[in-house]
Amino acid sequence: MAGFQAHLDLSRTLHNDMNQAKAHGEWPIVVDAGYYAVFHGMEALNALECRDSYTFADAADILENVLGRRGLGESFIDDYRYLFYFRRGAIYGSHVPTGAQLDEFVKRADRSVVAIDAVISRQPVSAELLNRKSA
Amino acid sequence: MAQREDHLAKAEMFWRLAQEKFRSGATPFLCMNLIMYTVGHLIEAALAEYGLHPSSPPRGVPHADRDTLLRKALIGNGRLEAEWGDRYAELVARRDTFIDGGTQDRTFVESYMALARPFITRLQTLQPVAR
Repeated sequence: MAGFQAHLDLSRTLHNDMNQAKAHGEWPIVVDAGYYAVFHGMEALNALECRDSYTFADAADILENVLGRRGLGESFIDDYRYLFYFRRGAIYGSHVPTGAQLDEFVKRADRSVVAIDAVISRQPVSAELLNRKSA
Repeated sequence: MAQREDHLAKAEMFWRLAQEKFRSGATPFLCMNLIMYTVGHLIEAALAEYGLHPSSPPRGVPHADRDTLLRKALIGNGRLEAEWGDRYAELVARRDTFIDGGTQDRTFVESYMALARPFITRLQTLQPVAR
């Protein structure tokens, strides 16, 4: 139920947090911030067409059936699944990522953020939407 | 499947990070998550002693099942007072990762920390079940 700009701002903040945490060796923040940077970027795209995810299952369904076809594509879907399950295994489960695993995670998160920005740049986002405060 | 020691190690790591990031004024969204992950791992450490591991709905996360098992196994057998079940539910409900209620600010994360800290302290005092 948040607006386009709120999701986009949070996505960019978290992407920056991911990169700072990577530099400081704080892997839990790399994983959490990296995943949510991509998730909120997707939600920004959803807000452009009056959609919200109420669950992560919603987010996956919308991605596979709507956003993928709107320009994010199959490789983005593959990256998103990788990020989602990586986060669940590393944050909730027993896994502790190696340096190489974390490098792969960051590479995919970076690629996903770039893909979202590319789709947004092709959208006719109205000034009204950009200036609106989230509900 | 993570066992008690895995969960305790992760709880310690998340709690250290949560306190550091809270003190340094890091992004409130991240502080909120680090606090919740501490709570989750401390609960799951205790549940693991009974061989209980919360499941997740498809493509989801285990918060609801953790609540059920917390009330059944930890409160139900008297290891934890009933009030902490409601505290857990409130922490889950107020943790708004989809920012439906707007992006979290410093005021929010201070109140979230105040809500979670006594619960974390209580969970940290749980002793292993005597076998």
